[in-house]
Amino acid sequence: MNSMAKDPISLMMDASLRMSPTFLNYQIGSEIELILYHLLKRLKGLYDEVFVISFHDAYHFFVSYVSSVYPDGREVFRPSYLISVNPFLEEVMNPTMVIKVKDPEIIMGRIQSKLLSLNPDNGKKKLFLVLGLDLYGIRYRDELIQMIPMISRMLARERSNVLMAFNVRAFPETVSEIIDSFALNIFRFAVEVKKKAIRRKLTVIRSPFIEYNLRSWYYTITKEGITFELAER
Amino acid sequence: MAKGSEVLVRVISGSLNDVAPGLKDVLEAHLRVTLHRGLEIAYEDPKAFKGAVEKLFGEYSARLLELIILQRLKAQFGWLDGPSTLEEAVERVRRIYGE
Repeated sequence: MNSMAKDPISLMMDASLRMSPTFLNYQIGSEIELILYHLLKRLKGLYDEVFVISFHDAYHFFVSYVSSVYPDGREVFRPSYLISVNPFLEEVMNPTMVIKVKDPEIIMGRIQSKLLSLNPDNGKKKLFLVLGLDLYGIRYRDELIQMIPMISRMLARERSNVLMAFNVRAFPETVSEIIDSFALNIFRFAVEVKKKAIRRKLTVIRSPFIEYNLRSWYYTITKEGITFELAER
Repeated sequence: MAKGSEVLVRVISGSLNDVAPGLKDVLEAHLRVTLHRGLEIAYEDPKAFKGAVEKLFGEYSARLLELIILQRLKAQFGWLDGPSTLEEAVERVRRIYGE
């Protein structure tokens, strides 16, 4: 495959197919929900099962926003299994499993036992989407430090594709260093403001396609799709 | 400006500068156009403030920003049990300053 021909969504997709987990580090205003929609739309068909692990109603917030922009948003985000950790609004979405504790070991233990009960060796290809770890971490900072390695290791054992959206700016550098040490692919979604106009920028921080690492694109999202413009180095 | 409003505006400004640098001006401009008020609307009508933030940044980022603001208020006032919404936090701040 000629990676020089990749558009950034294909780049993220192919990177996640080669190595996992993939961290999508976003800033407020970067429209991460819509980026994930475009990524999922291309990835979903490659998998037999999609698992969403949602902390603090994150899935509800994602779906609600995406479906207000794209008519098929709810369908694209529809999981095979929804595991809701500390939900409030999300319970009406009939999650497969609800966990209401803050202790990382208990949360991980229950998720692990659920995954084991679903016959993990059934040969099905699995895609995991982890949303809202940042919402959990803002409330429980110390627990987040334990949670990131635990969830990364546990899902890595599943030999599946794992995507995590996370707002690094909401945390001190120590947290972003921990995340960096567990992420095999890192894509950063930032926002630049000039004269009150927002420009959104994607930078490849780490991926198996080294010719693209540290390269950036400005992007624009509309109802028709997403367009990228390569940023000068 | 009421004392509680001053404190809240300072906390919101600090939160925005940390997690969304550059977006404070964008949010203020959005609030002025849609609600004809600045960040002080968060104290006067927290629900309207949250609605405006949701329209601008999406529900997820709005919740993230709300949680960051709540954590800062919790630290500032030394609350042991933090409020879970901005509306609750504003009620508490109003009681503290008798406003």
